[in-house]
Formats: sequence, C-alpha cells, structure tokens
Amino acid sequence: MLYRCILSENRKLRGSVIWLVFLLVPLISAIYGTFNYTQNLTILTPGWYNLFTQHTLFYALFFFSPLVGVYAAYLWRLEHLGHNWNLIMTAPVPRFDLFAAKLVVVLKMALLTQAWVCALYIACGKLWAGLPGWPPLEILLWMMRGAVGAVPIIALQLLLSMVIRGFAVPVMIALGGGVAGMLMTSNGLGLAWPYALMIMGMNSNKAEDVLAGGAGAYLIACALFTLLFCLIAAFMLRRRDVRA
Amino acid sequence: MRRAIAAEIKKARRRHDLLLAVGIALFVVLWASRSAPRTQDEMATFFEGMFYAVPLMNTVVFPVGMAVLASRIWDMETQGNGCRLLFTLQSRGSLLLSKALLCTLQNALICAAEIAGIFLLAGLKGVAQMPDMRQLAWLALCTFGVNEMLLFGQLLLSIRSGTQVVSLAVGMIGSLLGVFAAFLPPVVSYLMPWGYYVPLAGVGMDWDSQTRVSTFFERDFNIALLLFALSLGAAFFALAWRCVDKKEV
Repeated sequence: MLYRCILSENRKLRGSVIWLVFLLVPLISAIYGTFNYTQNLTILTPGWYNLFTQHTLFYALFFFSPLVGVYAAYLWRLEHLGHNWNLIMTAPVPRFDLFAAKLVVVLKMALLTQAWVCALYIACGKLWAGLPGWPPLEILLWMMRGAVGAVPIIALQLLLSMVIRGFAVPVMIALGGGVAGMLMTSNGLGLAWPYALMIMGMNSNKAEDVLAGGAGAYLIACALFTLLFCLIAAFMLRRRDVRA
Repeated sequence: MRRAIAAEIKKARRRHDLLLAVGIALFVVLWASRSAPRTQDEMATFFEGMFYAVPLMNTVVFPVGMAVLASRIWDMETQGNGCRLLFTLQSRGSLLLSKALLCTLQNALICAAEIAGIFLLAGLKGVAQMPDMRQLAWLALCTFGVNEMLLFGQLLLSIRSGTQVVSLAVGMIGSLLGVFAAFLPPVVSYLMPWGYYVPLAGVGMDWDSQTRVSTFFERDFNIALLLFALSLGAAFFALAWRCVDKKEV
C-alpha cells in the first residue's frame, strides 16, 4: 500500500513547476559562490574548503528549509482542494501511509537537491575555479550529514502543510525557522531546534567541524525530532474524520 | 468600491492576514535584535547599525513574505472558484483595486511595525539618543516602495498562473538573487528588483579587516532608484489589471 502511495505522490511531481525551483536555487547559489570565491582569492585561502563555504553558506542558512517547505506544501496542496480530504480519508490505505509516502518522496527530492548541489560544486571547482585534485572526502560527508539533518525538517514541514490549508504559510514558517536555526546554532543550541540540524550537518559557516565529537548526539536529535513529528502526524490523521 | 474593500478586509480577518503581515515585520526586528550592538561604544551607533542591517534582513525575508501575502489574497478566489461569481456581482476593476488596496494596507502595517520594532528595541537596549529622522523616514519610505512593487508583481503572477506555487518559487529565487546582489557591485544590484532594499539604504558600512572595526557612513538617498521601483510596481499593477480584465471564467 505504501508503495502505491509513493507512486501516486511521485506522479504529482511530473511536469511540476517545483523542478524549476529545484534547479535554480542551487544553480544561483553555485554561480554566486564561485564568482565570490574567484573575486576574493586575496582574502580567502584557495582550496575546496573555502569554495564549499561560498557555495553553500546562504543555501544552507536561509534557503534549504523554504525549498523543502515548497516540496512538502506542494504534495499536500491537492489534498486541501475541494473535498479531496474526504476522498483520501475513505481510500483503502492506512492513513499514516499517506504521510509516509510524502515523507519518502520529499526525502527523495531533498537527496536529489543535495546531489545537484554537490555536482555543481565539483563542476564549478574544476571548470571555473580551476582547483587541483578532487574535493576532500570530509566535504562529501558534510553533504551527507546535511541530508540526514534534512529529514526532521521534511517531517516538520509535511506536518505543518498537513495542518495548515494554505500553501504559502508553511513556506514562510520554514524561512523563519531557518533564520532562527542560524541564530540557535551560533548560540550553541542547534541540537534543540529541528531547522538548525541541516545547517550544523553541512558545516557551511565554520572553518572547523561543528560536530567534531558530537555526531552521535546529532544523529539522536535528528531521529528524535523525526519520530516526534511522525507520531504527531499519525495521531492527527487517526483522529481526523470525513466531513460530510 | 467601499463595499468591495470592506469585503476584502473581512476575508483577510478570517485568514489572519493582517496578523501575518505584522508577524513578518516583527520577525525581521527580532532577527535584527540578535545583531544589535551590545557594548557601550557600539550603542552610540545603534540606529546607524539598524539602518544598515535592517535592509539586508528585509532582502532575505520580504520577497518571500510579499509572495506569501499577495498569493494568499488571490488564491482564495482560485481555490473557491470565486471569480466566476464575483465577476457577475462587481466590476473586475473593483475586485482587483480592492485587493491591491488590501495589499497596500498590509504593506503599511509591515512598515509601521518594523519602525515601531526598531524603537522598541532601542528602548529595551537603553539607547538614549534619538535616530536621524531623515534616515528613519527614508528607510520606511524605501521599504514601503520596494514592498509595494513586489506585492504587485506577485499579485500579477498569482493571477496569471492561478497557483501559489509559481509566486512562492519566484519569491524564493528573488530573495536568493537579492541577497547575492547585495554583496556584488552596485550595478548588479540594480538588476535585481527583489534586493532593492540594499542599494536604497541610506547608511553604508566600511569594515576594516585588519582592526576588525566597522564604521558606518551616510549615503546619498537614491531617489531615482526609488522612483524606478515605484514605476515598476505601477507597471505590474497595470499588467495585473489587464490580466483580470481579460480573464476567462
């Protein structure tokens, strides 16, 4: 049943305008990042680390959360139209599968986004900035950690988009959450705020690894937040009923 | 016309749009509070710091915020298929004009809340001196002008596309372009209307990387750019008018 739900959610993405956002946000970030890097070589230490910071700083701090917010709100948008809620409440599938399928599909989108960021980073580094060799494996690890930190944001955004009928408000909340995440991270409280986890995982604004020695706590925080939001969603879906 | 405006305000009340507008402005102020001066020396330039930082924060938050507000105003008619009925009850022009006036009201609320928030922050931080009123008025005027342009642009997109997705996507990409343009040469920032808050700012900053000291300085008010932003807003409104006028229901 879950597989069928995933297939139907995937179908919603075909020919959707959100692919444009998926392509453009990392692309703009990459163009600006590389341009800034090449213009400031007198201040920056040349190398893959500084290029990574320039590429992903604003992307991770301000724009990843709203991007996920757009993906999540887009998948719930149809359910909020007309009497579609009644339709899905009477569908012969476990209710939580509806949420879980969206979680899987948005996670797929988030992973693709991270992969696209990574591909642009390597391409810009080699072809534009002319960096020698290949990026350190540590940076690829940070990208993967960023993807893990994205999971609680996805669960939270899906929950918000399920509860809030409008498309736009959850996206605005995501932007606010991202900015608050930046402030929480700088105050050392990042693990207590779901939107800060991706920022911490990506390590975009620090020279040293912010998670050095704390990867376990980070993974536990990601798992706990994801579980919490999924449980709330399951509870709300179970209580929800058809409105005649 | 008065009835049309009253109806729009009623719809906005049910959707808590005015509250959302104030919330967006207060969020910027809250963010600004984190970068507000802390030491006694820095307090002397509290308002200059705010006049420099707030336009930057506006560039991140407001393009998405304006997309949210404008798209919600039109999306209500899209979701409820309301245009079909409304076009038979009132003129198309009055519907758009009342929505545009509601946008303007929300924008005025945002600017008022932001300025009030800056004063509140100064009070909480114990800043004794008064701000330069010319700079304060310029900040409010520029924020209002750029917001108005963005609101009408987003309203146009929402009407044309019939979905909030396009509006939000453009708002987000615009915000990203605006932030980047703020750190690029001024010529680039003129090409990114979403980031006009920064080239319009009346205060600039010099940062000495050796001493790590920031110095604020006054900049000439860029009246030509503000007029251009307002003209762009007027052009967006005219296009939205044409779009509503030709809309099939």
